[in-house]
Amino acid sequence: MKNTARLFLCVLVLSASFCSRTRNTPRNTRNTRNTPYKSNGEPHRVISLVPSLTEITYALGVEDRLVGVTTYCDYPPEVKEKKKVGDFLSPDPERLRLLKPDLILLAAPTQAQLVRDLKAAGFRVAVFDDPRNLEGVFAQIQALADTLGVSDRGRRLVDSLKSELKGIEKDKELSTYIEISEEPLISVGGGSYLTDAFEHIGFVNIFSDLSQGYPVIDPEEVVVRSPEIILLLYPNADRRNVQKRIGWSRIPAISRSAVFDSLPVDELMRPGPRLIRGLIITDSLVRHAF
Amino acid sequence: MLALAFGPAGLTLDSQILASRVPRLLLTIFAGGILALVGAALQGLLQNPLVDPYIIGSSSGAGVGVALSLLLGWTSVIGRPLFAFAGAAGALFLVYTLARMRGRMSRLSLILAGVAVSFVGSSLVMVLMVLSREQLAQIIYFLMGSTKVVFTPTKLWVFAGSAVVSLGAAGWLVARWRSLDILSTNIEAAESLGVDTQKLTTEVFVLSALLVGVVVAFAGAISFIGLVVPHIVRFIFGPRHLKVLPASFLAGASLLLASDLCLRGFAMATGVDLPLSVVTTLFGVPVFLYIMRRRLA
Repeated sequence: MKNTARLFLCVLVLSASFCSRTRNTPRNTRNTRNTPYKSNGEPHRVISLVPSLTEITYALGVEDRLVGVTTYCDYPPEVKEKKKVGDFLSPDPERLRLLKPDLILLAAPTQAQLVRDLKAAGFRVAVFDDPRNLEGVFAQIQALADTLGVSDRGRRLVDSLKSELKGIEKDKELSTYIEISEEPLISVGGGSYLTDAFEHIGFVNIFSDLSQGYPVIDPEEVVVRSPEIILLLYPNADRRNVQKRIGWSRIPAISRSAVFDSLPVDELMRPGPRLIRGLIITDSLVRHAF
Repeated sequence: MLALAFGPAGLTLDSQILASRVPRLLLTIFAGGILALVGAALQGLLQNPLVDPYIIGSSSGAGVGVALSLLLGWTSVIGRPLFAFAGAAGALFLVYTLARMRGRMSRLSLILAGVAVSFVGSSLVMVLMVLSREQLAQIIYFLMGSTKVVFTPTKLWVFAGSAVVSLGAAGWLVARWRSLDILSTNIEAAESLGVDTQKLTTEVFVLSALLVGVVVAFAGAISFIGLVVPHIVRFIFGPRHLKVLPASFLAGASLLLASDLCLRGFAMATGVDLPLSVVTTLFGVPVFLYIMRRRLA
């Protein structure tokens, strides 16, 4: 095809954003770095180019400082009233400038190129590393709170989330296959925060050994790794289709009919403050069935 | 070559998961074979060595169909192949209408209309990709081609049905070998020898577009096979279509099987999943160049 090269580029970009979570630092809590800017005081005109950071800003109760968000930012519903500056990877520079931000929030390494471009254009940016585990999600919330000068609110939010998380009784461990796309078959690897998050509630990811965040997998691998439960994390997922898949009938999750659709996909797929609620809902859905 | 490609597949077979591998194997053979055969027929018809099955626009039509199905949320196991095929058929209709001028269908107008429709289709896919955002990766993956398809019984039946019909259509193409032979030598001579070039062009074009539509609907747009396999086959068997068409089917099926095995092995060894089209190209080009240099030397 004529546009194969262009498509390949897209794939590279996408895979870069998927793989990128895998490299750099070992897992630890200090995986958030901020660009120093403190000398100028608290930012008051903030643009968020990351949906999860937008959500955190709202959860911290400082949404009045947000002057611009991306077209992907859709939660909480009030965010619709905020000015859109374009999508996640290519915001409109003119609109950015018109909004006169004193800080732009970005995620790395997914938006590394954008970070360089915006810095070169003279914008002040704060870059947050994509969280690789649950601790990273909390650290990101705290780091954003610090950046916005509301450290106390950040601590309170993180504490309440942590205590909510503690409320989940860790039951028997279940080996889990998480599917985030049906065609192609995409699962969650060790590089994603979801692997760690689900482990906290006793769901052990069968693909945690894969370093990628969101690997495309072979259907046969699922059969070989025989998970006890299957979680379908995409809109319009239908467990009946999965149960009918040829060659899958001997997977314990299928034979015990432990395949779950209608899960809180939005809450889980975004490493923000709603993640804990997503985990609680998932946990109760699954444990009820057992 | 075919036997060779089958070997490792059989060797790595685990009897427990045989059931899930058979549909994939059949799809791989079907897709590779049909693409190469259609490529050979179209190259013969259009007398152009750079023609591949996608030049007549049906793959980008299918791409539009898939992107639409994702956007509308019609992603059931048979919804997507249906949309893809509908898209391919739509593109076929468009190219056919555009290429006919004063009731005549010239080969040049066919190529040009096909290229034009392909580009429009690609642009539409881009638009739909932007609109469907999160499904971006799925559309790209589809366009790169893959036989790593999860089958449900319904889907398997739909595939089996379309494959049988398609093989019939492929047989029809092969039956046109004599006309294609004559056409390849000289179009004026063909007319005087009683070949209805209009009818032949229409027939080959319509059958090819529908066949490509079926392949793309199930396996995405696998590149390279349809372009280069016919050349490899002609280097070995000469230009007669009676040999070229069936041999292309076999060689295309073998090449795709071998590529699929490479991909599988690579994925198992490294955990990295390569797009099928990348493997067919990296695997097929050395074979092609080797044969070309030996034959032309």
